[in-house]
Amino acid sequence: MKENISLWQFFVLTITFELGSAVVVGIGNDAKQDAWIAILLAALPGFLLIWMYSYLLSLLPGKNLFEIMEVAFGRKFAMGLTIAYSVYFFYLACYVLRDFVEMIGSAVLFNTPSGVVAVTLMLVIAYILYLGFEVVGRVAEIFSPYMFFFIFLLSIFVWISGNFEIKNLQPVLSEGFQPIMNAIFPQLLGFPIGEIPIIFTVLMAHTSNFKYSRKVGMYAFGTGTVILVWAAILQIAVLGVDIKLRSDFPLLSVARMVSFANFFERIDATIVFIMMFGIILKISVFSFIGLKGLEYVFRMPYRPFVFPMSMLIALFSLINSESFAEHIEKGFKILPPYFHMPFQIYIPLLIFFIVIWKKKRHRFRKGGNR
Amino acid sequence: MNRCFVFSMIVVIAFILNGCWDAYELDQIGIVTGVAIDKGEAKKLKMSVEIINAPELSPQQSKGNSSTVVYGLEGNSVAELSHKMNVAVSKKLDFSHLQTLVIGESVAREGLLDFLDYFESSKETRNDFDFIIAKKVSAEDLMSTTYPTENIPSMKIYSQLETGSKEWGTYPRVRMKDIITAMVSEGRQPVIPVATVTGSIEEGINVENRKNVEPKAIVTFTNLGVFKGDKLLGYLSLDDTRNYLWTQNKLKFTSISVPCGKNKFFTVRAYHSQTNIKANYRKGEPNIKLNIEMEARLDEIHCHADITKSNVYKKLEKKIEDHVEQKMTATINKVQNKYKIDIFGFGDVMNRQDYQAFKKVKNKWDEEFTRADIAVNVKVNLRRAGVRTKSFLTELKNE
Repeated sequence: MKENISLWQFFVLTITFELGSAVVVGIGNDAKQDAWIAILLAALPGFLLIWMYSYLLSLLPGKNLFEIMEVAFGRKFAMGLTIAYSVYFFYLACYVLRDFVEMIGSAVLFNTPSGVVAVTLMLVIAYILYLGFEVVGRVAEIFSPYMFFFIFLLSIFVWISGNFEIKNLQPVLSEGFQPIMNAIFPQLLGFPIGEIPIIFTVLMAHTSNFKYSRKVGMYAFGTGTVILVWAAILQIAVLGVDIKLRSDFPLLSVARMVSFANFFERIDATIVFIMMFGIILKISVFSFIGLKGLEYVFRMPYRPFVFPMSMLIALFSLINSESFAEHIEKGFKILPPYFHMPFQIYIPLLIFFIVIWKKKRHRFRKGGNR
Repeated sequence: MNRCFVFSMIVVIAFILNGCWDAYELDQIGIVTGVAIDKGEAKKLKMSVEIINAPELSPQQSKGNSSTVVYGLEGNSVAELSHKMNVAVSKKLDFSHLQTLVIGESVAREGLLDFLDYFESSKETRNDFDFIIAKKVSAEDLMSTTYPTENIPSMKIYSQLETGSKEWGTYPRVRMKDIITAMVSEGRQPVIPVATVTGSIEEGINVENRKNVEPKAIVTFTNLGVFKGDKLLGYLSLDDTRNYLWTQNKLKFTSISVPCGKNKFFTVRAYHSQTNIKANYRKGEPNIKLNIEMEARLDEIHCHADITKSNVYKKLEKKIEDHVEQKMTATINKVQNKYKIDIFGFGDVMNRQDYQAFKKVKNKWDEEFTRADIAVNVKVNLRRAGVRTKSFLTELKNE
């Protein structure tokens, strides 16, 4: 069972991962009608981080984040950090799963118990992961064209049915850059922008051709950001700022607005598909990285962990928050400053500088011996 | 062993994946096409639902019975009532095909539109149904008044609204999104079309009414309801409604009759109308400019005019422009002086175009609106006139 994905799979996987749930749930709400500018600007530090992390990986070829940590801190300390990282990624998987469960519960299936939704989805994901990471890449490859097609279709339908009012985007930059900065730091930077560089630290080590993976990753990240910006524009232009801010799933509300020729209506199922596909991939990737961490800690292949961890993710996604409000509160108030920032930026940056310092010293010593 | 495991998994998954929990078959649900909200006598509200009687809609199975069933129940919240209707109704109600929501006048007057929250956040209802205020009659009666060529009363109202807004501009198509956005916006107040029942209500709610050549009762649209927040303030006439639509750039077609002599008129069909609004503050005064440009076709003319000449076209254009400008200004002034609220959304335009100035006055925009200097500028391009060059009236001997 191979664990390498092709560059094209890596490309579509990254885009789908970035869109994931972010395209459906509203992001950048602090910036009001300038949310799209905020997303665009938040991508800049994202590019910088991708560049730095891929440089870090290229210093120690073939190693992923956890193995690099060993180089930086030594095995004992790296093990502690790896466990923390694994827990973080498994928690993100729980969080994303709960997003999906909540959407199904509040907008699609009222009476179905949340547990059933969570467990069935996790069974599928456990199967995918059990077959290996290559299968994740192939799932992305097969289904992402449908996702792009649905987003395209939605844009066209909304435009034809006359709901697209570009004037809702005005006034642009009414309060200056302050609200945009508030939206970017730390929320947008943590979700969804900062998630990309940090998953790259593990995924890039599993691409078939590492040399080009940085370039491909950057292109994918750029494309994903453009689609996110478009989704934000779509949401604001169709719903208006006020309704967008009050919607749990703005893109779903956008789909509900579609109605033309008395025939093209009720296309919400496509949005549920987009969300479900994005979430399956997000959970797969998060769990895979978490499992890789376990693999590093226990020095054994991750397959025996797949099924129990998947069921634990399903369980914890449900007991993590009692209500949707608590879930959202955690995601917007607690996760970004206390978890996203350290795990996605501070610790990797620390490793980055330590590794560079060690490399330099190493080279210097080498030169001295000569 | 392995095959056994796979087989048992397939069986288990087949049970899990079919989504039985939320399955309702067609014969278990009653499709609601209309909802009417009246003021309750004992409780806060009275909600009436119109459920379709599906066999009556099919030409083969129809027995001439009523194609809809209307039932009303009193309660305190719409969300509860929508599940409590089964005290009289046989099936589970499904609101996803709602066409028309009728609101009683007294409910609107007292600002009881808070039930809209249910319709906004419910997963079943969408943004594709129309709103109507029932004037002088109860909302339930308005929703139950039958009509010969349409089986379902609320569908009649729905298509009446749709056609009317396209043909003449009788009523704006007000959807939930428009109302809610207008309610929360600082620079706009909502409007909802107003209808009443002309004729005898008792005979109107009978299927027999559909057998009359001249229906004994019929739903007619009379006004446009003007709201301040969630409270109904008053009514505008149908002519004002058309002018309102014009300011909203929502008027697709309309016919304008312009006087051209004593009891003589000429009528043009206007189309491709485009409205641009410019709003800003000049020397501390709100300044709003409406530029309307449209094309027109001469449909009818009672006066002597040689319409083979282009300068006659120019003269007619000027007359239409003056007429429309005057009527529009009158409508806007009436709203400014009588109701003192901005139903036109000029505040929203100001917010977009002159944000810094609007920010200072956004809490008292309606006051600013009443003293705003509003200018209407109409440009008509009269293109052609029917299939005759001259009217036969110009050749009449006895003139």
